[in-house]
Amino acid sequence: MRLSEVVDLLPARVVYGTDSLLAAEIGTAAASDLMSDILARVEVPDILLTRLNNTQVVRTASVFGIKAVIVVRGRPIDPKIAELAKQEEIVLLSTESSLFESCGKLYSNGVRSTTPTEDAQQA
Amino acid sequence: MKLAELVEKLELDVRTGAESLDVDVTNGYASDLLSDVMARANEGDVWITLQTHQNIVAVAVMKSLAGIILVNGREPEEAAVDKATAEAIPIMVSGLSTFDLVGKLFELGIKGS
Amino acid sequence: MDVRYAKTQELLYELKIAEVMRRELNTFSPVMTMSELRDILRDHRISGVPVLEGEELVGIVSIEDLIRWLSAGGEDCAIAAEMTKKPECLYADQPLVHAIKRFDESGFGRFPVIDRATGKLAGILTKGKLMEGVLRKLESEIEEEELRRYRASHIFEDITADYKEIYLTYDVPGKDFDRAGSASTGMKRNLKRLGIHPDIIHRLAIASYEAEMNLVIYTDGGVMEFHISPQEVFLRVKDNGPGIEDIEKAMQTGYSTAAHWVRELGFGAGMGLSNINKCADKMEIDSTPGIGTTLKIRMFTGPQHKPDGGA
Repeated sequence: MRLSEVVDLLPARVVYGTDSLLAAEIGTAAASDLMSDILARVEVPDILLTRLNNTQVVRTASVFGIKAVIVVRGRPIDPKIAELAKQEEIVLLSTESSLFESCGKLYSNGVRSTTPTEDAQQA
Repeated sequence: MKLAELVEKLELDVRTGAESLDVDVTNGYASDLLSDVMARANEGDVWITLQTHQNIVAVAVMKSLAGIILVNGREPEEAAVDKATAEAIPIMVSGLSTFDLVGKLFELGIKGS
Repeated sequence: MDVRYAKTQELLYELKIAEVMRRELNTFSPVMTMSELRDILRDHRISGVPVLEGEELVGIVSIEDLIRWLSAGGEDCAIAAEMTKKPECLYADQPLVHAIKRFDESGFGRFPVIDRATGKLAGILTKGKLMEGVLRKLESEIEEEELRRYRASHIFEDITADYKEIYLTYDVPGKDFDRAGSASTGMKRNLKRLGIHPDIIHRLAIASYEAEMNLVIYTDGGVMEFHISPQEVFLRVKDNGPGIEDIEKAMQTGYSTAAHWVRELGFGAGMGLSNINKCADKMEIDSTPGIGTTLKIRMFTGPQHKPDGGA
């Protein structure tokens, strides 16, 4: 599905995203509140769902190559984070839904996880 | 749905609290931030997280959660196992990620808390 | 192709009507005749002109109006009788995407463009002009980025010396959580421009970011030095303490000395150093408690580089 459809599905508010960025097709997602857990993965997910609302969520997306960040539970997003998202060209969405509901809805619509880290499986 | 049924359907490995699986679960909470769970999870929720240290058991006891599912194949730390065993708190382990595990719970009818 | 499509979309938002409209205008006064219009449209090969009374825009007259007039008999009259009065206008400061929407909705072939500050006619916008403007800009932007990338990636070939190296450093302040990571994201962009293999950039960006977060979280700041040579990218991260007590333990996944506030911000899960180790082709760490830590990361870019390789 496209990011614009994700916006309608959850529903979410677009904090930063141009029409062309929102037209991106997405198929994979990761949900985590630990950035190193994301960075330890072998594959790059298209979207990151988290409850965190700090600048490092956008930086992690930028470093790892994630297209969009969805901040759940309607947590307030500081303008400087929106500004950073613009600078790094990362779509930033905010939803009132919980992490659980957001993952559930996306999963029901065919979005799947990337493989979790091998290290974590051995740990 | 009984927690025991979720264990069977999602092929979870039960590490502790096997005696406490005969409880109904209707809601779930997914978070890796303990303060968030303390503030917002509700009694009887099943908690999905990748945190493995013993504080997760303290949170589960305080919030009267039904159980904890660890994702990404993570194993509870020893101190967490001891505490959870003493408190009869189920800790279950899944090789799935948070996203996929929550997706499957959602399709089994478990709602967000 | 995807990149170009996305770029085009962006341009439609970035470019303003003023940048693509036609500015040299043939204008008409309402008392001129339709036969004069016919001659001018034919001679100048244009499809429509604004009609001004003094400096005020009163209408627009186009080739469609001319055809309608001709098929109705072509009896000469003043333009005022045949023109579209009080035409819909666009403003010069509006983005192109707005103009496209108006073209679509109205079916018109052209819009007069008004300067919002003065209220006066500033130009005319046709679909052709719009398209031409986008294409011109697209071409120059893509050329610019490609040229930048070309120059950078050939820097080692174009410059002769016995030893060649690009040396870039970043000062990373401690405890500045908001700014943390900006060195690594900036460096990622630099390496792209330098034409480094995407797999190496990806792994180095992760390693560099984890190291930068460690500086910010655990120390009072430090320096990140990148040495880029034709054979490797070498990163040295240096701080002045507090140092790591037990490096072996610190390398274990899950081992962490992080304070609660760090965990609540999404870090300190004890995965940082093991992530770095996994991403680097080679990693060394030296630490003396009370003195400081030096972390060295190497990524091989020469012939020994394996595109699939982690450590």
